[in-house]
Amino acid sequence: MAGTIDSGAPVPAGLPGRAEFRQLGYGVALVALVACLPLLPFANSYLIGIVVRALIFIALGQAWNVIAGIGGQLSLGHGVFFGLGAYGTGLLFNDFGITPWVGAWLAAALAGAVAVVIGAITFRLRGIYFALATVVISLAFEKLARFYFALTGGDTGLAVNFRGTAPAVMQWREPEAFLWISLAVVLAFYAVTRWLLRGNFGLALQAVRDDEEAATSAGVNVYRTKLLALLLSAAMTALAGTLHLQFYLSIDPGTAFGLSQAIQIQLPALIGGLGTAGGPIIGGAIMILLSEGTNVASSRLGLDGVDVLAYGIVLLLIVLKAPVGILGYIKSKRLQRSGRAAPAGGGD
Amino acid sequence: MARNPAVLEVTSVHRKFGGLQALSDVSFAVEQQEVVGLIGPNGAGKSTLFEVISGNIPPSSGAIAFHGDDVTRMAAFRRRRSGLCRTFQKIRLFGALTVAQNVAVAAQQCVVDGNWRDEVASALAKLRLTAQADRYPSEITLPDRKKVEIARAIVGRCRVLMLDECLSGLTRDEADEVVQEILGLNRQGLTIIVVEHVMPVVMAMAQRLVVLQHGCVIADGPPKEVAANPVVIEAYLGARHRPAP
Amino acid sequence: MLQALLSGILVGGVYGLFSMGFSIAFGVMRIVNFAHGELVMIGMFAAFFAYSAAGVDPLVAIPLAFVVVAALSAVLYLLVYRRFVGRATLQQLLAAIAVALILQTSATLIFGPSAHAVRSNWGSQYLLIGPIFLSYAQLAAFAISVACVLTVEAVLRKTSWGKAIRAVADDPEAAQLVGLNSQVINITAFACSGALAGIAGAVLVSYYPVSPHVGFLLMPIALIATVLGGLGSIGGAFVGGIICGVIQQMTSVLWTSALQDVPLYGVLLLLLAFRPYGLFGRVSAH
Ligand SMILES: Nc1ncnc2c1ncn2[C@@H]1O[C@H](COP(=O)(O)OP(=O)(O)OP(=O)(O)O)[C@@H](O)[C@H]1O
Ligand SMILES: [Mg+2]
Repeated sequence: MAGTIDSGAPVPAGLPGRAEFRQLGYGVALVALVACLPLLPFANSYLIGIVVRALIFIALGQAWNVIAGIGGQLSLGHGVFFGLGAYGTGLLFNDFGITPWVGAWLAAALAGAVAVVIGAITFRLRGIYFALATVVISLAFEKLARFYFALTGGDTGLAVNFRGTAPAVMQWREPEAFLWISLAVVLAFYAVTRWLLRGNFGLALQAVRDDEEAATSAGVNVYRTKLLALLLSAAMTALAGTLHLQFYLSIDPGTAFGLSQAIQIQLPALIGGLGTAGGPIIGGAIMILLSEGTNVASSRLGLDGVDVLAYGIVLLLIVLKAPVGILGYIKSKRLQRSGRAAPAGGGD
Repeated sequence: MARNPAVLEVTSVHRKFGGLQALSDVSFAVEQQEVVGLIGPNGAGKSTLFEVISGNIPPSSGAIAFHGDDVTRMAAFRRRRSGLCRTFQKIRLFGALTVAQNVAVAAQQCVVDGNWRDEVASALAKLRLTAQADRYPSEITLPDRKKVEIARAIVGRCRVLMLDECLSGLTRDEADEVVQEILGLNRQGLTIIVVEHVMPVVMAMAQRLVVLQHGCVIADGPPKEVAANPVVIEAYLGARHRPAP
Repeated sequence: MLQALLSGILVGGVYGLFSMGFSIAFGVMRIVNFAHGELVMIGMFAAFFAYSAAGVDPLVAIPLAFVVVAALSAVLYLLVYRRFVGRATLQQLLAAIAVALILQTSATLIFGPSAHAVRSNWGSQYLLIGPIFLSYAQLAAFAISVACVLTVEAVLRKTSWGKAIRAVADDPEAAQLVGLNSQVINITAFACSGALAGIAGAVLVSYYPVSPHVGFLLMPIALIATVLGGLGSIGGAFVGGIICGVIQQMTSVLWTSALQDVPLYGVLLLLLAFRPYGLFGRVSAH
């Protein structure tokens, strides 16, 4: 957060400090590196594929971070929006021939609409009850997706009709294009997060997270604010779902709505730092290392599901040992050194 | 009494918490630019009355009228936007936002005409908080935090300000300073209801006292009269014998 | 219909049994044990192994499941849940989900993902009463569940330990003030919560195949039963469990058994939205 919230909206923002320029420099260099990855001599499809997967992880984490990190509403049901994005785009393409370039937005709109309905029911609840309600909703979606196989392909799931390299329908044999698309999505989501951390709507949203009664007494329409944040988060999640579908070309109920998917969506933000703009990016990068490492271990040992076990262990360690995530931890250390008490959450 | 029309009118408000009658048949009215002291022993129901007036909790029965409009069913955030403002007894600032942002949250919702940024700046200036604008609540002193609460409450449209023990925990000098700020706001036209335990301060500030005990209004009148009222003296003497929690 | 009602009640008895365990953990410590279904699953595996290794009937293996799961719960309490006592926080929920995930995937890695069933000679026999048929295994399961529930109720009412537990569940803050909410009470209560899950697992495996994934099917039932019965009301959870069983069976008959849980989820959402203190629970402030 150093430098985002504290130069916040109402006071005329001073000139960005040297630290901010340095951060900006690192950011631009990193983006350039990722974008130019295919041009590098050692790059191959395998490496680029890993980076794409990392970017999809990050995008999902950024989307969840909007409602959970900035809005303080712990949704365990984001698999629903992810699944709606993936299934929605896939069905629109397979059954109606609608290109994913359009289908993605339709699916995101659908996810947003479902989010409003879910929010209208569950935002009567607070904290843990909201979380439990969202779990149950995603369980119901999983059951329904398995049962109505005529629509969804049942347990085996849905496979996109593959036409080879066809940019008009967001399909490529090689992963470079996905690299650029997902990089653009991550950058866009980063911009959204930054806007939320310092913009008007985001300030109200953070106020709701910190104290609902006090926010109400400051004139904030708490219910509407939470609903809009969930809508935004759901639409972003659905867009990342489309990306996932186009990259893997298939989706099934477990991957879409299962609980382990919901946890994978949470981990980047939880690891990196909840409610920060940079957290999901750092967390997502760590996640991909974890996921690649366990995949190698699984194939060596001939076992399936080691990655989920690793996610569980990481989640437990984070919650018990570092509840503020990496950025939160760094920040509290930095503030301690400069003799200031840490503010309660938020950051960059 | 009826010099001015009532700005705020509370009519036989009742509120129960399970078996506990926290407010019973509370009625009183507040006039334009009045400073009313709401006093009573611990647990008398003063904070609960603020919660009900501000709309954070609904009354079990009874009505609240603001500028002649019935607001009993109006959502709390709408009441704030129309100028019915309050602070909290236990400070409730937004911990992840700076002082200026804490005030800005309210300003964005409650400034009707003019630029909300200017209103934030002027609210901070009124309470001498400009130097703290970019600090976090955890980095400033207790009196400053109380002042941020007040700034957040008065920014934008504010017609009635309800202050819940905004002086407790302050030293005498600090309290005097905050009192002067409050009286200044009152001179500019604000109607104020204060809950306060330090009697001399209330006597000095308020033009009228309303006394609550066990959720009932037991006295309502000019400070001198109320202070001489045997029922009130009995309530306070009785309270003094009980250990404070 | 009558058939569905009766088998619903029989199945619901077992649900009620492990839901009581869930309810104890919530009532006494405000812990939402998302891994409760996994505890039942481990009870099922314990009894299944007694059966496959030594040919012991699952119902005879109840003490084994009891001990294994109670001990595991005590360990989990000390390692994880101890830090979250008294506050049903999001952190606690995340920790419990992580525990659930770890237990489930460990079970998958050890036992494989497929389902195992016990084939005892009486388990597939049915009692016929006119047009109604009831499985002996389910009848036995129901009888054992009711016996356990009555025992637990008696212990809660008669012993000083039980009275302390009930006092804490009733009003955690007041109990804290009189010093009831001790570490010993907590750890025994949590072990007891797990023990009920273990017993339920052993009973359940006598007619229901065990796989690492059953936990995720059972946990929502415990949650729904507890909310139905009223948060903090331990006996209420048993009644809630029976209601869940009946709703499931009715759905199977009237709609499809593949979606038997979906109406349950709907019921939970409605309850959380409109009666968060349960059908029988008292309304209290926060
Ligand atoms: N949310 C609540 N649930 C249950 N009881 C409550 C609640 N809020 C207040 N009470 C009870 O209502 C009574 C009045 O409380 P209130 O806070 O209004 O008193 P008060 O006059 O503000 O006291 P103090 O001077 O200590 O602030 C008290 O007995 C209190 O315990
Ligand atoms: Mg008070």
